[in-house]
Amino acid sequence: MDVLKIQRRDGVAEDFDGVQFTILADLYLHMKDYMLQHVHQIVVTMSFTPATLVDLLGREAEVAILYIWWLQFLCYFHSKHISKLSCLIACLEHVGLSTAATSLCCIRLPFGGKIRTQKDSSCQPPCHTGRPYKSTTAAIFPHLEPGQVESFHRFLSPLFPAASASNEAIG
Amino acid sequence: MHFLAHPPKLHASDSTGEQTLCTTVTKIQDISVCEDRIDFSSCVIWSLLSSNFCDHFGSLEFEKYWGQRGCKVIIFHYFIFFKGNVCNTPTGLLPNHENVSIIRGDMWGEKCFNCVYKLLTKQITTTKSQFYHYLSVHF
Repeated sequence: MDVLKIQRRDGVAEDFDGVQFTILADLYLHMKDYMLQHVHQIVVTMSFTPATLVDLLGREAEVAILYIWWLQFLCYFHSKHISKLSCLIACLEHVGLSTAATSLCCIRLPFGGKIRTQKDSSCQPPCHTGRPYKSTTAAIFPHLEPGQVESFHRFLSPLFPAASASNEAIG
Repeated sequence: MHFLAHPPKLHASDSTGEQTLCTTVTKIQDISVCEDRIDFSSCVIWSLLSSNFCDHFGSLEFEKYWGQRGCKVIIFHYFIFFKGNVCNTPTGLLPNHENVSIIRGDMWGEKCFNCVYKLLTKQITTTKSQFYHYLSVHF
């Protein structure tokens, strides 16, 4: 398959903007090998807004882990030559997510708590006022491949110092 | 985020590992596609769309354009099944666009929000069986 395009409709209200995250995370979980082997190019327009990143149904932890999965998925896609361990960090540099990273620092990833965004876009240095993430992610971690948990921590640590300080609680 | 990479890079096709910049980028509906390695004699594009209402799939400008360029475009359209949510554009070939077809899926129908991977897996299985059938008939 030459191109996989996800969402982006014109002429109608974008009532499902944000579904891209779910789809990419699903593809990562269930079809990663097929995708990496057969899909040459993924094209997607994603918006990083409170409306797309905050789950209003109370599934914040799932949304957070979805975020990691789709990011990891894109990273695999783009950075095959980069080791998995440094993949997430490299992803931010290579995938052109600098804009996303800027907005991410304004978002708490509070596993077990609530995701909240701040309107202040000049969020420097990273916000770390959120409560540290808890063991709720431990139940999800077994689905991750070896090394990804460490990548996960390394990815979070510069953005969420408070969260990384309590990493040890999560095996 | 409008492109997976800024600037758009291509993986090396040989073992050198060196990346090259994409030379031909076509932007339709604000979505860029690198044409450098697309073979238009066998090009396949999958497009995943989700909407509340069946007819709210938008202008399909991207899909129609690449269909006109010769690519086989399959639209996987997820929407919410409920009484009155009528599809004026039926599943199958898009009228006046012989290379564009629509396959529909039921959001929440698989007891998950958007199990598009299940629909894709079915499509892959179908494509494979069609391929093997073709082989058995012609070879």
